[in-house]
Amino acid sequence: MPWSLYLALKQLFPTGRIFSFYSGISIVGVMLGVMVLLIVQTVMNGFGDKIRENIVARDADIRIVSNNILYDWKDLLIELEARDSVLAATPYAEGVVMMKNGQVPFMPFIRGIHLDREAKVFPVEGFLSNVPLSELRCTLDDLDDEKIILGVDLAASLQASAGSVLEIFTPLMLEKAKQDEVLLPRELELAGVFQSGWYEVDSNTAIVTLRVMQELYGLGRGIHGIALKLKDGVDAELESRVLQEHFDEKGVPVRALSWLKKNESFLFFLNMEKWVMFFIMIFIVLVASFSITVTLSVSVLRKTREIGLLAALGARSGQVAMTFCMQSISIGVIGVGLGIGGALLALHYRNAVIQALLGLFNAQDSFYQLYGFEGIPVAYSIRDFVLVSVFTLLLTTLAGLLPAIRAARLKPAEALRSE
Amino acid sequence: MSEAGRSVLAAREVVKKFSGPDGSVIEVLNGANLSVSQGESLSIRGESGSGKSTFLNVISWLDQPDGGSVVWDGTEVPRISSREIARRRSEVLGFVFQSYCLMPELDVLENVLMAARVLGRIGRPEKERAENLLCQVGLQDRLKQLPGKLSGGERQRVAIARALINRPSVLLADEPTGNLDEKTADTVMELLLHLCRDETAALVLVTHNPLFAKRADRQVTLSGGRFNDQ
Ligand SMILES: Nc1ncnc2c1ncn2[C@@H]1O[C@H](COP(=O)(O)OP(=O)(O)OP(=O)(O)O)[C@@H](O)[C@H]1O
Ligand SMILES: [Mg+2]
Repeated sequence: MPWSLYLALKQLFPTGRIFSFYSGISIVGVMLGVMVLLIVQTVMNGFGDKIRENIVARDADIRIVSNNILYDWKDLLIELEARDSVLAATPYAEGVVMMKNGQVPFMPFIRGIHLDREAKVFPVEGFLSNVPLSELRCTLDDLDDEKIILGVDLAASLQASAGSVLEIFTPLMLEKAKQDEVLLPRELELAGVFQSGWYEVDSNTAIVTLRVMQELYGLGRGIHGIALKLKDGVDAELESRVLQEHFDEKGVPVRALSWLKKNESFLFFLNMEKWVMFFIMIFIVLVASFSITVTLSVSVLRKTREIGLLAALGARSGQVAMTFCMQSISIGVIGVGLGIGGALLALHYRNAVIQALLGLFNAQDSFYQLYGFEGIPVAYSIRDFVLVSVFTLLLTTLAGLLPAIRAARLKPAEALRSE
Repeated sequence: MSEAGRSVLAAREVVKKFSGPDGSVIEVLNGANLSVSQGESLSIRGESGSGKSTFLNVISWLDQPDGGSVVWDGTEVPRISSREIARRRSEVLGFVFQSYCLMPELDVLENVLMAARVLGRIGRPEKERAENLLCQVGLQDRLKQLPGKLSGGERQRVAIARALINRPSVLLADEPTGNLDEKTADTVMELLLHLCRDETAALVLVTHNPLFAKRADRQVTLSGGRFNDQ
């Protein structure tokens, strides 16, 4: 071991004591900074993954859409389904309608689905079975061309109950109304409700058969798009690009959108938020590094005579500088080590900690309702751990540079003369 | 005895000036000549402010002179690289200061070994030598003690052991007993002279105490920036 490292470690951990008070404070500072950074990053990753999972769960992996109505979709559907990467495909048509139950009007989003195929792409069966056992619980088998299924919150808003007959008005009817034809709504009977767990879906979505939707929107035999579910492990973004190339080559006027693309801006902000947090939190490490600079500068002052002695013992100024650099590096390494340990510990017991905190404020229920999932999600990312560690070590090393240079520039004779 | 050995340390026509607070030049050393032979002990006396500490700094090249030359073991110091100076200094010279200068974080043994460490020598032989030296200064039971728990006399004895660990040719002691009471000072001085003789290290002793000064083989006085042999 070079003597500069030996002396640095001795000054941090003097013989007969666990550590010196000053270096202890610096180490705790670095440790806290690293801990907070890692906890925040890991929890943010967890939230991100959870949200992504949610998006994946309610959205198709890829949607094939067109600017116009797709009429020749049957061949396309078969061709898509034959691809190695594709697990299932389903046609759909969707849009907005006006809906009335008695005097209560609403303008929900309505989705026409292929009864045999929908469940292979979307977790609609799960949504239906989420509904507590009641008259409003149903299966896809209950849906036919005279029936409609509503999101559970939409049904509540419309005050619709089992057997309620809803009147549906569509944009197409407005066209007819302009030509002075009689405006007759399409009547559909409520078959049941579904519950996805996302309020914005449950409060604003209705499901009908594809045929009803084609009739409502005057699509004839056409559809709006095809939703694809990919096999496990297939990258949706990559596959969408492959498909797009394929379509462009063949001159099929459709676009392939992956769920990533479709939710691009949202996911971008999610990621952005994570990095903004990182840059805010890095200030904790920055402040800790400043405290190292201050501690070591004071130490240079206190130890001026010892620095002179080192010169008398044959130390070169570079080596004297090194003892102070080594101290800040050691503080960094130990702080990062403890910080990682502390973060892992805190993350491991996160739910117990949150429970205790929420219990203190009696806020368990509202917390979980708000976030929509049990406990705090985490996703450990080696990349984040490495990044935080390297960044912290860099800062703490820089922190030691100033005092080290000061120590190196002391003149031995004057240092020995100092009081 | 004194004139017989070869010179291990010499200052020739050394000049050292400082600029005073008002910009005036203070000539502290003004053509000082001194030669120390192998194994001899030499005491330097002089009024306070006459430049004794300055001379020790210059002769150990911790401070560069403004004129003249310094010779260590036959080599003129300015002729060697600064890297080499640092290494040779720790081989040729040992230091004892008035204010002990021990490292508070290191125990007694570690403090002594620090001088060897800086030279990159840290092994079984060094440890044995350190223990041996500490035994000779009577601190064999205090190896693991921190300096903060030692008396002034004990601390100075540790410093003496440290100064000798690298087997220097010359030991420079700047008022080593300045902070000690009379009785302790006497013991420490006795140890210093005795050990230097045992180790055949020359001793350059700066002291205000005429009794201690007289115990040296040779006595010089610094005044007016020069040495006057007595
Ligand atoms: N770095 C410096 N700058 C300016 N003047 C200095 C410096 N170092 C020493 N001096 C001056 O040089 C003179 C000699 O100082 P030095 O410490 O060598 O005296 P000394 O003989 O050791 O005195 P004492 O016996 O009190 O220790 C003093 O007048 C001091 O003020
Ligand atoms: Mg002096």
